[in-house]
Amino acid sequence: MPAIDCHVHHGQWPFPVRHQTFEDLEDLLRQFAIERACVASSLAIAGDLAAGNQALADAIESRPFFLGMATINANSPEQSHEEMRKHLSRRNFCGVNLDAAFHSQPLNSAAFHGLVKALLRFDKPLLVHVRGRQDLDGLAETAAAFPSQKIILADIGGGEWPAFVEVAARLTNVALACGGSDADRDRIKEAVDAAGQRRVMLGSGCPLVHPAYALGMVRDSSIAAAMKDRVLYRNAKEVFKI
Amino acid sequence: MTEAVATEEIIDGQTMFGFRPGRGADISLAALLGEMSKHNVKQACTISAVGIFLDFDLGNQQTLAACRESPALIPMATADPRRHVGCMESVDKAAAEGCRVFALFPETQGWSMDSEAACVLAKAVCGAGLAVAIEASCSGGPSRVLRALGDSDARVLLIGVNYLNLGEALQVAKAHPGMHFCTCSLASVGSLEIIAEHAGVERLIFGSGSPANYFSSPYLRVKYGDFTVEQKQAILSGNIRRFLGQVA
Repeated sequence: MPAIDCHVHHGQWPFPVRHQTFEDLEDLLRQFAIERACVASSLAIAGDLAAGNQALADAIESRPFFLGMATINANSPEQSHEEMRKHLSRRNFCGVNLDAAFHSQPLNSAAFHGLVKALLRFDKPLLVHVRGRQDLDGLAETAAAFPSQKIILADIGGGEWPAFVEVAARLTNVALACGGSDADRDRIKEAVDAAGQRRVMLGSGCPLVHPAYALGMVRDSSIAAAMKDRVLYRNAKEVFKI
Repeated sequence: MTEAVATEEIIDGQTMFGFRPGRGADISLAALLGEMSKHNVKQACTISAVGIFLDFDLGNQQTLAACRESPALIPMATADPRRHVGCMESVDKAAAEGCRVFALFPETQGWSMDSEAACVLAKAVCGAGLAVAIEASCSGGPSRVLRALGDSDARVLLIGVNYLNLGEALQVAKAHPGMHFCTCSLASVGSLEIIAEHAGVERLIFGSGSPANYFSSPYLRVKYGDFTVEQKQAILSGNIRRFLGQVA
């Protein structure tokens, strides 16, 4: 079954994770029938926003397997606006990435609302790595305020996934990326039951999570084969307009 | 997806059964046995969830009863040092009943491996000749296990080590030759291979957390790991046989 992985990183992390060049990443993901990967730069997330996004843009120019996710940071709204202007008009950038662990703004702050408002004109989804209930509550408020902005929650929220599933159940512009290292059974079925068949998609978190680990969750989930196809492939294809 | 090893033996080092408060997934004994059958798991170390979440005496009785009924199950006994009363007796009882491994859950139960109660209990477990499986998913967890066990010759299985505290766990493994890593939460690219490189492939023990967790996530992680067929087989069953002192 082919797949699209909507949550992949390139670059170093401060953990014992094997560094992956773009070539390594593509080889690894293709081994699991992943046809396209939405990739963000760890340098942009945790180091240098502009340099990370630019290095990503340069690297994927000749690698059609990858679709770029421009990283933004709510601590730097002006620079984030500039990063969106600079990269989201590129044909191979499919969305925006934000990791709440690397900024100190609440996800219902004026600065964050300004970024989401600006993103609306690009008509591209926002993948958010939410860290905990407080972030989730703020993000839910923002999602409700901008109902036409598609927002994807990475890792279905990790260990606190039931609260994330509940948010996706009540906000139709919120989708769930299944991946991460929390392998609680049967969170994918509960996510699909709550959010519907079109708003759950594969997002491994590679290389922090091996694609085999994320795909194992989909493989074991008690959803129909046609639904697995939606989770692995069709939902991301539709949401990211691939 | 193609899978690298055609024939293999799987012994799952971490399963549970019963009822888990706060979660809906079926983790009954029937669900565990069903998952084992579905994934061709030959044997599994298991523990009653009642022993973790409520009453270790009752849980240990349930675990032993389940293992008597299903010989593919290997009992893991437990005790909760918060209760203190009956903890040491549970160690003696576990050894007398033929248990080979004793599990401790400081993170789930909310106590510290640094506590005197935990250190005395852990040393009693090792003194009884049992292997010990201990939750250590948080920063500082593996180090606390090391301090609690001192320089004993304990066989220890660290459960829940993940990319966030793997660096710490590797340092702990260098200091204690009996430290092993359960693969259940070792999800990242390179994690298993880095352990093999820095601590030895013999320290890796396959565990799924099934049926509370998806079996295939940790299983496929091993299956597609950068290992030889022989190394994969060691991770899937050989290493735990040695860990448990199991001959056949």
